[in-house]
Amino acid sequence: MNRTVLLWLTIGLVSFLILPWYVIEDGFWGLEWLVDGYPLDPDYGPAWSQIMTGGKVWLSPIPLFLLLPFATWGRPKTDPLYSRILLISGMGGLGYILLQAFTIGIAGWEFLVLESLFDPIDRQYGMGYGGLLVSAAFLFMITQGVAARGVINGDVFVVSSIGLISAIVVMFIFFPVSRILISALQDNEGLYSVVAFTSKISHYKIWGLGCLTSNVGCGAAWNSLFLAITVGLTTTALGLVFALLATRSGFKHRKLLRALTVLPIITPPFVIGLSLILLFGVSGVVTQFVGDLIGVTPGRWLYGMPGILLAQLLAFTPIAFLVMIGVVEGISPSMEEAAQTLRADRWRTFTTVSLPLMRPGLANAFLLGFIESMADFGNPLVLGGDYDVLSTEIFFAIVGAQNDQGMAGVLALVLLGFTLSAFFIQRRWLGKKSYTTVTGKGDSGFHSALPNRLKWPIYGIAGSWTAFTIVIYCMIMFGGFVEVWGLDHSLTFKHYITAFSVDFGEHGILWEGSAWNSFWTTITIATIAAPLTAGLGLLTAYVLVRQKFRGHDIFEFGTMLSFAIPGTIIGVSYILAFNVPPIELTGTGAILVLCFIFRNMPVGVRAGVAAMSQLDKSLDEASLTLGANSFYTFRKVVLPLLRPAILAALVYSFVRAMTAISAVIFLVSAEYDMATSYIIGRVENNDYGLAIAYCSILILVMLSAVSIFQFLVGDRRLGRRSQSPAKSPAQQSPPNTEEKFA
Amino acid sequence: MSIQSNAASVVFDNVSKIYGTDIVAVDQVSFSIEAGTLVTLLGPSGCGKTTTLRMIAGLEMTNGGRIIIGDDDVTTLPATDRDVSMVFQSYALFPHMTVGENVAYGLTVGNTDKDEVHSKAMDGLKLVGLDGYSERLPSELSGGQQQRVAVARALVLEPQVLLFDEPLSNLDAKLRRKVREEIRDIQQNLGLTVVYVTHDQEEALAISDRIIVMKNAVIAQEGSPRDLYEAPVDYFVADFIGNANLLETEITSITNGDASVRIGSLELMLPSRGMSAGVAHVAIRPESVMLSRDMASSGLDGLIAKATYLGSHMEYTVTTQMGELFVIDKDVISPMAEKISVKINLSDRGVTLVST
Amino acid sequence: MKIYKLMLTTAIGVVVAMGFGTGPAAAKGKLNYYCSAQEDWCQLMAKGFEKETGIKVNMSRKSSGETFAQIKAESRNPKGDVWWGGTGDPHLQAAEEGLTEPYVTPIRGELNGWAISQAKSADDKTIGIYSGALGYGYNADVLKQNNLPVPACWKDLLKPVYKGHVQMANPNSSGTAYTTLATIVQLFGEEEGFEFMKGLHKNINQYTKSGSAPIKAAARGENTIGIVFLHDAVKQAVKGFPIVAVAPCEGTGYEIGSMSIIKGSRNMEEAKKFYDFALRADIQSRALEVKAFQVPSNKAAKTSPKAPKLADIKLIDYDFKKYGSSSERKRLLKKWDDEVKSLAK
Repeated sequence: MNRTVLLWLTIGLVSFLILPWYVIEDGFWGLEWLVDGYPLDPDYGPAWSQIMTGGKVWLSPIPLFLLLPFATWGRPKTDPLYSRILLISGMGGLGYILLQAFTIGIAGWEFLVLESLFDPIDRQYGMGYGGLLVSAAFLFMITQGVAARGVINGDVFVVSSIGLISAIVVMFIFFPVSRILISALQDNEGLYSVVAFTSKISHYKIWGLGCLTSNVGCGAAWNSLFLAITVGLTTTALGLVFALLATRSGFKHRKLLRALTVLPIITPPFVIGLSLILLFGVSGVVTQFVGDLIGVTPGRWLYGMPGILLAQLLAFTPIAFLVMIGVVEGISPSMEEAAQTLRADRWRTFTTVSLPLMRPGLANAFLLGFIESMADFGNPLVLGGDYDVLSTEIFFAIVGAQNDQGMAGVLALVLLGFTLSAFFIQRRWLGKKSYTTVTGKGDSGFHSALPNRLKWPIYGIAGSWTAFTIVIYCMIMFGGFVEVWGLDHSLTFKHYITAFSVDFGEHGILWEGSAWNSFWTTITIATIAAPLTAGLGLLTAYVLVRQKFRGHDIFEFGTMLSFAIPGTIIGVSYILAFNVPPIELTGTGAILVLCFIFRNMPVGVRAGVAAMSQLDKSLDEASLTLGANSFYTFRKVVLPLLRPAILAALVYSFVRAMTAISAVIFLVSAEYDMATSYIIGRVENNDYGLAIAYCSILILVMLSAVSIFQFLVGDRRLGRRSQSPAKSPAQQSPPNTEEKFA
Repeated sequence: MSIQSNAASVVFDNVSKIYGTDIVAVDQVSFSIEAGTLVTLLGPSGCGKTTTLRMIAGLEMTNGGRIIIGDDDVTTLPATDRDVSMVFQSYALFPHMTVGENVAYGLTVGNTDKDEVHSKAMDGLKLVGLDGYSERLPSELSGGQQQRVAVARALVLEPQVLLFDEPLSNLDAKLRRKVREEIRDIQQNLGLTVVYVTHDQEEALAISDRIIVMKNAVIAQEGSPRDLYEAPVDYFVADFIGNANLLETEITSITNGDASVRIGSLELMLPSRGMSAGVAHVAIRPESVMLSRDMASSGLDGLIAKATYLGSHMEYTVTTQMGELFVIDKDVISPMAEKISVKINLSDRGVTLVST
Repeated sequence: MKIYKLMLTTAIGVVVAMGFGTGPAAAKGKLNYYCSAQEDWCQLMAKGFEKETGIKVNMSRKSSGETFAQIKAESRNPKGDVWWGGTGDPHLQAAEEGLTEPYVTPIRGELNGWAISQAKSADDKTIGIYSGALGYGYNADVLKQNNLPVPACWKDLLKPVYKGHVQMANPNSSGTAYTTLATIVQLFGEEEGFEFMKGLHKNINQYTKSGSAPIKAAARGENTIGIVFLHDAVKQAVKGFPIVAVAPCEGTGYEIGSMSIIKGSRNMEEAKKFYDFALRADIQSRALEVKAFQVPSNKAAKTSPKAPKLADIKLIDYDFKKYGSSSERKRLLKKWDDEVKSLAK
C-alpha cells in the first residue's frame, strides 16, 4: 500500500476514533477535554462515541468511506481501480461530511423543508480536531486518486498542493463572500425575500442623489465612488509627480523620498486623521492661528469629504509612488532618446512616448488608490462628519442600533461590486497590448530630463507635500508626550507609562501597562500569520508558474481575488460564515490569523510569481531527473532561491497584520484584542495621548522589523553567491507593495 | 573508478504527444535505441525532438503509445521515478550550492551514507577533470567547466539512460568541439546509453552512433551518420544534413534498380531507390561537383558567378541552365576566377535520387 | 534561511505557549460570562470575581443585541451562565421569551427602587445594575468664546443661536440616539416630538455614528453641545475637559443596565454567586476605577461627586416595553429618516 495513502488513512482513523469530533469550547489549544469526561462526554467525544452515546447517528456512514481505501491494498498505482477507490472514498467522505455539516446545525435541521420532511433531529456544533482532520484525510484521498490517474504527471505533491490551496481558498474566501450574498437576500427573520433585498439595495441611503439638488447628503454608494475616484486619480497624479522627481531630475534626496514612502505602510490607522483634527479642526492649531490672523475662524470644513480626502491622500500617495517609480524607471531610455533624435522636443517626448508607456503603472496605481479608499475605515470614522461612506455604513449596520446584517450584506455587495468592476475594467483597459520596455538587451543612455514647464510645478507640489507629511509625523511623535492634547501641553511620559509600564515582581516581569495584552496578541498573531502567508503564497506561486493544469486561470483568479475584496467585507463575511457551525471561529485567535493570511496572500503570490519567473525552469527539471520528487525540489532548490521573495512576503504580511483595521475590527474579541482595535477604543474614549503613544511604539517596532529584514536582504545581495550568472533571484530588488498590483 | 554503467535500451512504441487539443508535437513515433549507443535526435526547431527527449525523461507525459526503458514500461512513471538523468541546455546548476553539492544532489536523495555520497561525487568530478573544484560555486566556473559539472552530476547516478538537451549551444565553436569529444569519450569508455538532442547537423554527424532525423513531429529518417549523409531519403533530409544542391530531374528509365537520370545534358546512372520514371529530385553534395576549365571536355556548361577563398578550400557559386550550384573545391593553389566559363561533371559518390 | 527558521520556531513556540496558557482550570468551577458593557468594566468584573472566588471566568464580550441573539440561538443547549450589562431592552425581551431564570438576591433590600421595579416587571428574571440618564453636555470654553447662553432645557437647543453648535448621534447606528428620539417622543408626544427633532435638525452640525462621539468632540473643542448619556459627559469632565453636564429641565429618559441568569445554565450556583457579587456596594463602587459614571443600583455604592444624582434629575416614566419593541423602533427610525434626516438644513 502506498505510504502517503496509509499515512492519511491512519490520520483519518485516529481522528475519528480518538480526537474530539466537535469544536472545543475552551479554545483550540485547550487540553481540558482530556481530563473532563473524555471520551463519553458529548462535548468532547470522538466521532464513534458521538454516534453510540451522543445521538449523532448521522455520523455513522463516515467510517465506511474511511475504511474504503484499504481496498487499494496490494494494487499498483497504475490499476484503474486504485484511483477509483480513492476517489470514491475521498469524494464520498468529504461530500457527506459537508452535507451533514450544512444541513444539521446549531438548532437541528438547518432548512425548513427538511424540518417538515423529517423528524426533529439533535443539533451539532462546529467541527473540531476530529472533523477537520478526517475532512483533510478525505481531501488527500481525492488528490492521491487524481494523481494516480496521471494528472500533472502523476505528481502527488503538486496535485495535493492544488487540492489543499483550492480547498482553503474556497473555505476562507469564496464561502464567506457567498455568505454575504445570502445574507443580503435574507430579511430580518432570516427568510429569503426578494422584496426585502430590492427595497434594501435600492434604498436612498445607498443611492440617494439629494446632494445634487439640496444640501441633504447623497447616498453612501455615490459618496464612496466619488471619493474613491478622486483619491485614485489624485494619488496616481501625485505618485507620478514623485516618481518623476526621483528619476528625472537632479533631485539629491531620493533616499528621503524612499523613506517617506515607508511611513504610510507602517502607520496605524487614525493617526493621520487625528493629527489633521489637531491641526485643522475647529479648535486646531492652524485654525486658531488663522482665526487670530484674519479674524474669521474657518468652520467645520474638515469634517466630511475634504477631511477624508486629505487624510487618504496623505496615506495612499506614497503607495502610488511605489507603483509608479518601478514603471518610470523601467522605461527604456533608448525609446526616449529615439523620440528625441526624431526631432521631438522634451515636452512632446514626454507626452507621446513616456506617458503612454506608463499606462500599466498608471492603471495599477489608480486601482490601488481606488480600492484602498473604498476599503478605508479609520479615516472616514474619524473625519467623516455627515459624509456617509460604504465601509463605515457596513460597520454600523452590524454593530449599530439597527443590528441589521441583511443591510450590511447589501452594502457589502455594493462595495464588492465597485471594487471588482474596477479590477476588471483595469484588466480590460490594459488588455493584451505589450508595454514591455525592458528587453534582455542592455540599455544604455540616460532618462531625459524633465521639461521645464513640468519641473517647477513638480518641485512645488512635492515640496509642500513633503513638508506637510513631516509636520504631521512630528505632531504624532509629539502628541504622545503631552498631558492632554489641545488642552494641557505640559510634557509627560504618562501615556507611555499607562500603556507600557513594566513591574518586576517576585514572579518575574509583570506586564502592567494596559496595552501589553493587545500588543503581545498583535505580535503573536502577526508572527504566526507572516510565515504562513509567505509559505502559502509561495506554494501557490510555484503551482501557478511551474505547473500547467486545467483550471489554471480560475485557480489564479481565485487566489488573487482577495486583493479586490476590501477588508471590511472580509471582516463581515468572516463573521457571517464562521459564527455558526460547521466552522466556528469567531472569538478565537485563529480567525485573525486566517483573516491576515487570506488578506495578504496575493502579495506573497505576486512576489513569488515575480521571483519564480526569473528562475530557469530547467533547475526544477534537473532536480526531478536527478531522482528528487517535487516536494524535495521545492524545498531544496526552489525555496532557497526564493529567499528575497520570502523575506519580502514575511515583512509585508507582518507589517500589514499590525496595521490592519478594516477587517480586524469585526473579528477581535476580549481574549484576542489587536493593537489597532485597542487604539480605536482609546480614540473613542478620547484618550488621544494614549492612542498616539501606542501608535508611536508600533511605528518603532515595525520600523525596526522592516530595517532588520531589509538589512538581511541587502546583505544577501552583496554575498558571493549572488554573483551567479544563472539568474540568481538574489539580484532582483525585493518585491514591495507594487508587486501586489503588477 | 566507481562509476558504472547501467546502460539500458529505450523503445518508443507509437508514442504521441499533443499539447492542448490540436497541437501535435510528436505523432505516433516508434524507434528503438540499443543499450550502450549514442543516438542523436536531430531536426529543425519545432520538429518534436526536445519533446521526445523530455518524454524519455518523464518531464512530459505521452498521449498514447508506450515507452520502455530496459525491461520496464515507464510510460506512466514521472521523472522522479525513472532511472534517467539529463544534462540541460542551460546546465541548470543550482546556483546556491557548491560544485560538490550539485554533483552530490541526486545521490543525497534517499541515501543517508554521507561518505559514500561524497566519494562518488568526487569520482564524478574526477571523471570530467574537475577534481579540486568541489568547493567552488557554479558562478565561479567558466562555461565549459559548468557544462562538465552538469555532466558529472548526471553521471554519478549511473542512470540507465543519459540525456543531453542541446548541451553545447552555449559554448563557443572551439570549446564545443572539445567538449563534444569528451562526452563521446566518456560515453564510449563507460558504455553508456545516451540520447542527444541537437539542431547542429555537424555535431550530430561527429558524435553519434545513429541519428534520428525528425521533421514535423515524425521521424524523417533514421540511420548511421554515413547513411544519412550519403543516402538521404528525401529532399528534407538531404537539405538538412550537410549542404546539397537539390535539382529537379527526370528519370527516363529504370533497369535492375538503376535509374537513368538526365540532368541537363548529363546522363547519369543512379540507384533508383524504389522510384519510378518521371520527374524527381537529385541531391548533389558540393564536393561531388567537379569543375573543369577545359571547355572541350564533356559536361554541363557553367559560369563562375562567385568565388570565395576560405583558406582550406574554395567555394564557388556556378550558374548553369539548371540553376545555381554550390561547389566546394579543395584546390586553393590555382583557383578559378570569377566570370569564367567551366564544364561541370559529377563524381560517383554524393549524388543521390531523393523523393520530394 | 536562518531567519525563516527562527521565525517559524518562534511562531510554533508561541502557539504552544498559548496552548498551555489555557491549560486545565482549577477545580473550583467555572462561569461562562456574557458581558455587554464597556470592555474594561467587563474585565474588571471578571477578574474581581475570579480573584475573590477562585472560579474561572470565561468572558465573552458582545453588544447586547448580539448577546441576545446568541442566547436565543443556544436556548436548547445553553452555553452561557450569566449575562451582565447592556441596556435593559434586550434583557426584558429575553425574560419575556423565557430565556432567563428568575432569581431573587438576598441583598435586594440594598437596591434602588428603579432597579427593583425593573426586576418586578420581568418576574425577577432580570435586575438593574446601573442606570444612566439622558441629557447633554456643553464645552464651557467654547460656549463662552462664541458668546452663547448656557442651555438648561431640551427646548433651549432649538434656539437659532445654537445653529451649527449641536451634535447628536444617528439613531440608526446608535442606541443612545434612539433613546433620545424615544425620550423626546414620550416627553412631548409623537407629533410635537417630531417637530422638536425637525427644529433640532436645523441646529445639528453632524450626526455622528457612535453614541458618545458628540460629547468627545465637544471635549476637544470640535463641537459645542453634545446630546449623550450624562455619565458620558461626566467622564469627559473628570478627564479635565471643560465639559458641563446638563439634565434638561423638562425631564429626560434613561436606560437601565441589566443583569440576567441564563435559563438552563450549567453552572447555576456560580451564576448566582456572581449575581450577588455584582450587586454588592463595594463591587459597584469599583466602576469608578474604569471611569464608568453610571448610577449604581446599590444605594450604598459610591458615585463620583461630578456625576449627576439620579434623584436630582426629573425622570420620565420611560416605557421600556413599548419603545424597546422592534416594530416601534423600526417605525420611529423610518419616520425620523423620512421626515427629519431628509430635511435640508
